[in-house]
Amino acid sequence: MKTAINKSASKGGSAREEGRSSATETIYVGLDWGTNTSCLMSAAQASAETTVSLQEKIPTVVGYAAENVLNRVLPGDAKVLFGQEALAHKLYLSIVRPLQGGVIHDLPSARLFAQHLRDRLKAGDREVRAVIGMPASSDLAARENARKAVQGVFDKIIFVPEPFLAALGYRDDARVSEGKYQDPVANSLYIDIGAGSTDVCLVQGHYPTADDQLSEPFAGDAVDQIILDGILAAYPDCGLTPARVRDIKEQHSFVLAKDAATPAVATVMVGGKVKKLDVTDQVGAGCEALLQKVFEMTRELIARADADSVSELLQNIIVTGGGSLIKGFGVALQTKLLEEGFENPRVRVLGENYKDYVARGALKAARQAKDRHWQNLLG
Amino acid sequence: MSSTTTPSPVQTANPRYLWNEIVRWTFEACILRKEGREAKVAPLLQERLPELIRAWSSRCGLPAAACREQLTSLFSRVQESVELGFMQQRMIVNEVCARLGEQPKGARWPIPAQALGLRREVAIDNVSDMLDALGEAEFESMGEAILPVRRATQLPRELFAPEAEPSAAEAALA
Repeated sequence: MKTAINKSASKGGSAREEGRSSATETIYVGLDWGTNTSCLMSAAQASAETTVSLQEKIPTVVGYAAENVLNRVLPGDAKVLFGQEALAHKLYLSIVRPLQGGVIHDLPSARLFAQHLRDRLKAGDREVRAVIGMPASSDLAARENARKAVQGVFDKIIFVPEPFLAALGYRDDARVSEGKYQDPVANSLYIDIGAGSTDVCLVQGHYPTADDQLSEPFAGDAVDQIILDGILAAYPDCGLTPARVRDIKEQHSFVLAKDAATPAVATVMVGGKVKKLDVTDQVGAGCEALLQKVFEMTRELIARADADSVSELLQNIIVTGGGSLIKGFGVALQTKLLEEGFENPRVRVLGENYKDYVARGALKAARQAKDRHWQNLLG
Repeated sequence: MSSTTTPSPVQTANPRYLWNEIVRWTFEACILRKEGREAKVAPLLQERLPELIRAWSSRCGLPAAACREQLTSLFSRVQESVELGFMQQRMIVNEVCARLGEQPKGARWPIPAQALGLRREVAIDNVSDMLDALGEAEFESMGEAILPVRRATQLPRELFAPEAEPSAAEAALA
């Protein structure tokens, strides 16, 4: 039986000072449960505000071993592998991605993956409370599915829209009082380009209300589809899979002018022979379509902002999510805004660490949540 | 050019039609404000309603003071009705949720297929209040799936202009 919160564990207590955790201490988890990659952060309840005891990025994949796999081919002759280990042995596994478009798509594999995350914590019998990021566009059905996936895995949970957590995680609380620190939540526009949806929201000192955010089901997956359709139109017999297209996009995505020095060349098998295909145009078309969508959403939300706040807002356009990793995306969006007549816009791209911000924000939220906020999943 | 421009319905409509439009849009503004959708309330309060009120006031044949009194009374009665509608919705939703909670596992809950958005502003550094507001939004979202507030709110019939046979001139204008 899992234990209750250790109410005696107070800040500055001896357990914290000695870096130990008692058997009854609650573990807080911040989780960005992404379609492609999940980011997990955890800390003991009594640890200092800035302490993170575990921080991991894990590909969100579950691999089921084929029935006829020889002994000792898979580590520990495992029947199920997760994350990087599953990808490394994909030849012998049936790979399932539990999430699609940011929400649970396959409940059994999602439950296994959630249990794997809990195992990574090495929490033993300690109570685990998780704040889990959800796409801003997710509805109650999506949250209900996520709840089912973590029931019996985590003890208590809270779901929070990812843009809220990104804003919270991106803010450096220790520097807020510094005069020179530009508070990223004072007056900013966040663009989160995920796999299933693109969310754009105004963060002007307060969490976005329904009117402060826009969400469109056009993001990384849609780009993959455009690229795949384009490649199949040009090379009908290339036998590309969506997973391979995602790899190609992650290696070669770009916006702005084509860089002749680095054409997107994909190596594929056609009829058992290795072939190199130039897919620069197809990749470019997919990325341009995303850029145009993001630009339109950004323009609409700027129009909704208070006129007096716009000049400062234009200085703080922040792009996060997998789509932000498209080469040249920030500069291209800035250029489009400038061409549209917006004065001196500045677009910042959070880069490779974008997933950390959601998980860090989730961990911050877990630390500040009151007992009444937690949904109990026991029983 | 101007001589061929078609007049807007507000410029041509009869006072009964205009009054009923004022009732209808006041109701809509009150609901949207309760839902925290200020961006949608602003154009109603700043453009649509003032235009309707100006048109009605100039056609209803009442003195300005009586117009003001009638409008003030309308606004407060619509607000009361909307407040009551939200209360009724909350009571019914609470009751439905309590009964569904007693159902065996597997009983289906009404689940709205819409994104969750906060209905009030919460300061970024107040995580606790943000979580409260998310809880409220989730409850209200569930409430809309069980009993939409526009159905829960009954506007008193007497708020609307009494039905009457329009004169030939009014019919032509309408």
